[in-house]
Amino acid sequence: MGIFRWLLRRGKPKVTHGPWERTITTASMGQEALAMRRYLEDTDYLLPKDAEEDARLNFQHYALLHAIGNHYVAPLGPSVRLVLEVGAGTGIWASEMARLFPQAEVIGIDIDPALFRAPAQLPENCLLRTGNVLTGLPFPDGIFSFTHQRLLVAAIPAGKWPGVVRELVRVTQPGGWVEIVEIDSEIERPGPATVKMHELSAVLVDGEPIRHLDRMMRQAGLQDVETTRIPIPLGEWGGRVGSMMKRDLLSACDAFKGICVQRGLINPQEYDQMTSDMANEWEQLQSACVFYAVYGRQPAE
Amino acid sequence: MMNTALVLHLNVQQAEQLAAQCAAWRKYALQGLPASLERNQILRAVQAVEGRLLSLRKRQATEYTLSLHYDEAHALHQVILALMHVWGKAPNSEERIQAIGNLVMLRVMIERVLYLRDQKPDAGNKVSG
Repeated sequence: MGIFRWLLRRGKPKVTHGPWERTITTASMGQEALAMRRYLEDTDYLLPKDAEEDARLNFQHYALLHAIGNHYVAPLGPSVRLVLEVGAGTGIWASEMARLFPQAEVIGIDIDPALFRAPAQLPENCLLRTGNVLTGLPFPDGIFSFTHQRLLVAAIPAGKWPGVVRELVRVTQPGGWVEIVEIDSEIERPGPATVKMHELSAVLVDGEPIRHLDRMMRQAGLQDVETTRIPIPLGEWGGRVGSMMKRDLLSACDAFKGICVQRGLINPQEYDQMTSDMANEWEQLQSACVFYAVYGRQPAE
Repeated sequence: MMNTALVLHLNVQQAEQLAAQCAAWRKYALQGLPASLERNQILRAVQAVEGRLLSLRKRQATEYTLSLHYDEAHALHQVILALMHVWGKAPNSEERIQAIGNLVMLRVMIERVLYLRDQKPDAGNKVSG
């Protein structure tokens, strides 16, 4: 634990803009209608990493909080001491968990530190650092009492999921919990535009592993594995949570637009029309997205 | 919200059953109940109790003492009533009979601690932790 306290005192993380970073410009897309978004190069992450995405991720955090009722689903005990979040984004989850568990140290890692909140905005027991689960977490075996990863389906290629789960399990201590929360690629009660969007996203993101996370966790040695399927309404028909989730998903679709257009899968006007039709469908058909929360526990020693 | 500490004495089997009912209700609520402040409050209370029960299990004792805040005991009571309602509507089976029997036992235990709390002259005193 001492090493993390020491790291916490080291102050502001160095924000680097490495060779992986690039901006898809209007010129490279050949479409003036497209806004400039910042993407990461040489990574599997398909969504932008910029201020707009920062705002979306923070909004998404609160939408999920209202929908799920807490920052986590696993039945954590009172003895949580060291928490890891993989794919921390802005660090909002890590920051709020640090406030919720003031006796614990919470560490968030992300491949790109550009969106991290400034240390002054973080609780003293929260630390954000650069790291990549796909190349191995920079931690020794068995140290975290809770290891959490959320919404990285657009960042992890399908074939790499078993290795990612093993890596999360590796750093979790005996008796500690691992939790993964992901969104299913299919929408309940979809209309034609939603189906079209699903087909388009399936070209870039293989969501199938999400449905097998429980098996992967068991194979990685976890016990007491539970999967909770959480349908969340999309649209005003679903009240506050529905409105928030609709706004979040439409915003995510907007973030996804750049990569779809750049790869020639669709033109921008067609994409905009599809998302507009999809938003109407959700209200008419009372559509819902589905999240999976899967958690399991390292066997106690 | 009052935070009066209540104490539930459980044997191993009762602790297992209570943890299982907490898990079952949380799954049911997240899958089927619309999000609301009330649902979320109960979810968090039940999740915390389930976590403490699983932590107690690690001690491998024959009897456990579970401390509950008033709002947690109240949440458990609501959960057990809700699960009894759900099982009550299920087709008759051995599983249904067993589940309702377990729920009745847990309901009696929780109603007893809630009743005892109401009988205490200092009921309502706040405690920390």
